[in-house]
Amino acid sequence: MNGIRHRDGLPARMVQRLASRLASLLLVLPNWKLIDYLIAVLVRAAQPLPWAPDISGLPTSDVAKMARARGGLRAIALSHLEQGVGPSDLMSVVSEGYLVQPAARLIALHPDAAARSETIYQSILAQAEVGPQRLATAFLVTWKTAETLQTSHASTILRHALVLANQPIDPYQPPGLHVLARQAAAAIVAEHPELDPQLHEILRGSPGRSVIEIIASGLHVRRRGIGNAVADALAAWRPDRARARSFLKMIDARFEAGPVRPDRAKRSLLRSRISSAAILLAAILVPALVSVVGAMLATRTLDIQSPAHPSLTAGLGVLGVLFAVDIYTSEQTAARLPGVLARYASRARSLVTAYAAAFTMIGAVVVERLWPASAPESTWTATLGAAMFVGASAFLLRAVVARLHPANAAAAFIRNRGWAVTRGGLVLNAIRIESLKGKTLVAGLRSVRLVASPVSTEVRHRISPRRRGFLLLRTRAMHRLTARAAWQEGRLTLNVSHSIGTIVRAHEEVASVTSDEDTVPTSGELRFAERAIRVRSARPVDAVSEAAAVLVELAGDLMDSGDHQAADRVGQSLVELLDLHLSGVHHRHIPLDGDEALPVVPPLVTALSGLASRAAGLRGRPLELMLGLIDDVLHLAREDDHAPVILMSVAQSSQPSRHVSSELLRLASRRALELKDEAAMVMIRRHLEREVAGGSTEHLQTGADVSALAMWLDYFRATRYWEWLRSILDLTRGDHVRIAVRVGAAALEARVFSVALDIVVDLLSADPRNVEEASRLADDPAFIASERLRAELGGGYLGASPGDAVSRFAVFLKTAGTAVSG
Amino acid sequence: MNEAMDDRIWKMSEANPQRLMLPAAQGVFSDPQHPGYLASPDDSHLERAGSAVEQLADVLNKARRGSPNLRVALHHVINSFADPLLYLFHLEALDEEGNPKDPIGTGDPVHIAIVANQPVELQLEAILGFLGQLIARQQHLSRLRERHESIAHLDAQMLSSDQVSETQVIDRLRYGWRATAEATVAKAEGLGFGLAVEYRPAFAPAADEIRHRLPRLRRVYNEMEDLRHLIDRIVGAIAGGESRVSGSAERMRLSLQQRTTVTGTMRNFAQAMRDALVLGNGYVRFTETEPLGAYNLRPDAAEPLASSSVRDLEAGNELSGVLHFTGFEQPGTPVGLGVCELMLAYLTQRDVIGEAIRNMQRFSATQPEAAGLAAEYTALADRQERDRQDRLAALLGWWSKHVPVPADDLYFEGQSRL
Repeated sequence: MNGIRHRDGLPARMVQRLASRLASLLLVLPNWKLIDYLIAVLVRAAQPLPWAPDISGLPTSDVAKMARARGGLRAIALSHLEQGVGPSDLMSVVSEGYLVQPAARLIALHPDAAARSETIYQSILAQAEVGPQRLATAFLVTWKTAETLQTSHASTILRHALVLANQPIDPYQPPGLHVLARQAAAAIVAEHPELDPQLHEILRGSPGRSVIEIIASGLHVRRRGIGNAVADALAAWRPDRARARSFLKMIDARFEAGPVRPDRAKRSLLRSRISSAAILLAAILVPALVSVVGAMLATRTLDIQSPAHPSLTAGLGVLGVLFAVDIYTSEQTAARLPGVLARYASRARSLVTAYAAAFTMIGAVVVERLWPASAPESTWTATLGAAMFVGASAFLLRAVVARLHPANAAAAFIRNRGWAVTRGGLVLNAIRIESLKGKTLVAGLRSVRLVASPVSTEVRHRISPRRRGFLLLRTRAMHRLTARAAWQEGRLTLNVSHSIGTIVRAHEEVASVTSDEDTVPTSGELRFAERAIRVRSARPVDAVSEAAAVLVELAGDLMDSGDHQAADRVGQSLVELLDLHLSGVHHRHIPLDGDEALPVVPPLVTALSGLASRAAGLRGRPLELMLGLIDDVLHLAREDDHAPVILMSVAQSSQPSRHVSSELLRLASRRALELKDEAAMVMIRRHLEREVAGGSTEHLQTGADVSALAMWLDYFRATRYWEWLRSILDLTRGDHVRIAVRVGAAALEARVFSVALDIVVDLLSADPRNVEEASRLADDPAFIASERLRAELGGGYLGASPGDAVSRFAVFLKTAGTAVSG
Repeated sequence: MNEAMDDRIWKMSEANPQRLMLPAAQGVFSDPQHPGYLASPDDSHLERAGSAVEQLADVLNKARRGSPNLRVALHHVINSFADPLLYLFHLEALDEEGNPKDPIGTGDPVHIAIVANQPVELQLEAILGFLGQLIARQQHLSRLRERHESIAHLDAQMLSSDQVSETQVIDRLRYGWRATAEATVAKAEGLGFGLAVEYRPAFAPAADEIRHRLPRLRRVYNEMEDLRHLIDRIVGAIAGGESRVSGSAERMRLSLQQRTTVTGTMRNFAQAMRDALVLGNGYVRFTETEPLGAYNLRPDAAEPLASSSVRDLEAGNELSGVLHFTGFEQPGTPVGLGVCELMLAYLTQRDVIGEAIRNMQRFSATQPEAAGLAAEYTALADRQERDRQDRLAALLGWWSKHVPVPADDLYFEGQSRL
């Protein structure tokens, strides 16, 4: 509450302290009106809770009078604890409602915890004498400092608070003492587990709704031993299932995956482009500059003769050698590396430098011939140019040889073409925004329709693009078109038969014009309709898709050849490529309404389909590496990219083995849960159901992992996840009981007690001996070890200590199960 | 005595039209390209609808030749809870004490709330359909009075009258709404009614104007069990869920969640939502002192102002930090109307018929025909009750199909009735 706020740029606490000190200094002056006024101003500034109706609202004379008083009143006025003013002094001056808040704040801040505890205790014990203001102060302080109360005091305060809290509430009256009493009681329940026996006594007496809510609220924020405390409370209370569930729902911690914030492009495209151009310029200019400056230094300062006299023939020969090296390296890379990588692997910057050095040499020889007077400098320049050519050629050969290794080539590609990859993402970002505008535009036009497939009528006039690209609409042209009489009257209709914002092929029918029986569209009308359709080049995005496909293939080939390390390095280049591209795609956030969806990201589809189809035929370590790559790619995508759905679709088409299929589903579901992508989760659950019905135990285990993780990531659907899993489990089977124990332990760890209770009830109704089975599993090292591994792979749903989590659930099963079923 | 009772029963049937099957309604919900029903009509739609209804009122008034003796006031409401097939409904006339009164007899207008979410064209047709039915019912009631006929089958007769009138209106609508409006006025004049129609966007621009309606609306909620269950379901779906705290640090989330449970804040939201649905307006105010808490403001003593503030009508001061919920929204004013307004006319019917039955039963010992009348009225009451249940199911039945039964502790203890 006393957190630092900023008041006119200064930390509020500093302003408050300064005002308090200044007011203290002014108190030594006589009580003249001006001085009192200044004191009142400073006192108001010293109050840390400007939004509360505290003493700052009092008249100036009263504020100054409070400040001039000694003891508790002065401390409250100055919002500052003074020497010798104890909690009881502060409490004793609370006679009016406006003093409750500031007094409670100061008492709570008082360093003497024992005196504070005693003061609160005495105030609450003598509630009839002290009046409602002091009682309210005592409850407020209890709420703020419950953890420092002495146990005996806490016990008495809890008893009194529960009596007060149990009074009926009039919702149309401002909250009074009873709300403060409820808060205080809940704080004591949270901070004093040693008082649990007292709570159990209360619970055994069938308490009212208010008391149950207070106990639940206290347990809700308790930090340790919560599982056992909840089970013991149920055991003492012994409610029916519905009441127990309602009680546990109040204790549940409601975790849900937070919204994923869109990334801005990680690298500024302009900066990236400028730095790339600067490096290229330096590679061109450095040989000439170094040669000229070196020649000047050698002839004019050091006065040294050039050791060689390169001729024009030698210069042309050097150029010829360079051509040969260039062709040779290109052939070598083309022979060893796939498409786009080969193209850029042989284009090292040292090649540019070598060409620049060769041309510097030839230029210097030409200058020497034309202006013999400049012979010393020109000869030196040519010689230095030749030397730099030799050096650059050596670097070139070294770079090309290094890049013949696929992993190096991939890394070099990302280094050199990163800006183009980001640019492709930015292009797609703009296309996504434009596509949404296009869809909104069409929704408001009666004469334009979005249709799933070309209108099947013979009288339609087709509209096909001349080139491949993204299908978009021209807003102005569309408005001009629909403003024409034939369109306004509904005689002509434009049917857009392809999704806006997706790639269309050249000469493919993307739209058509249809007319009513009496109307024949003129060529002018058709031209207007054609102009409203726009196709934007897909080249920047296609280039990224091509690179992604090449990197996937390369990684897969390396896996097949057994070079796992190189495959992993290539895979990381692929992840970096997609990261750069998606940072561009997510550059400008696109808010979506309702069912709106954005066009897919083609390179993401390419990468995921390639990786999934490659994974389909793998096993062992290569499969692990491939799944790791897929997981990395999934984590780059945001909700709008629908990566889990894409993975689901491509995984099904690649017909993987059961094991691979279940692993892919696990990855997709984990990411979908993190992204709160319920549409993807519906697909995943259906798929898992089908596979489980077909007898796949792998898919059943994946379903259990998904449900266990949902306890953490999606509280508001956690019950439904258990109900879904329960529908495919047979809890009379030992292996299925293990699954239920796993999900129950995850629910307890995630503090979703209501679902843990559902699991307990289901386990007991299936077979009462499941209590012993759960206890046996908790002591089984093999079971714990396998659960630890599964939980780690599945997102750590059993917390830091899976063994303890299972043990806690076994105890909960026994205690809560007996309480509810008994 | 019998005649007086019959007269009251007739009057209550005057303005309770059945649903119309209008031309503009065809394809509204089937054609995705049609603007159709708007879940949240924007200002431009409300402006268009207002100006169209005003134009219609103008045409109707200009077509009248005699002096007005049948006044109708048209208002707009924005529907968020009832079925999208609700086009308009009658707002029961109540006197200052909150008792039902006969608007036609007193020269007051019959108030009609038009659902602004509907397409403008459909709104105009619905108004014309309603006016056609109103006039036909007036004609029928006059005939019954003249002939001193029994009212035991009034409901069936009214239904038949509505159907005839509906067919006529739909036929005329082929010539456009203007021609239909002029024909409606001509027909009314032929029957001795001078139709005067006015348009006021809001039925009650200030909360004060609906305060006298609140006790009867409370009775609707308390006495109609099926309606109460539906209202509670809506409240449960909107405000009866678990509080959801996202973002922030885990400790802060736990703490906030704990406070909402301890202080019963979600129940304050449920209370306010119920007030809004039943009475039109519900309020939750947050306290300004620690620990943060919430409480409700009584709809009888609060006047909603713009931007989360409310005037306390008892203390006369302005309160800030108030969340205001409404049932039906009204254009141009933050004051809302209760969804229970839809059932208010049925409460009047129930009261009147119940009183008639009791009277007849009292005299049945001495007057043999009174026993027969009591039986007829009882049958009429049963049919009216079935009709009410059907209408309620049509208007709010969606909630019972798609929303679970709320928890028992939806409201504070002792607050299960209003």
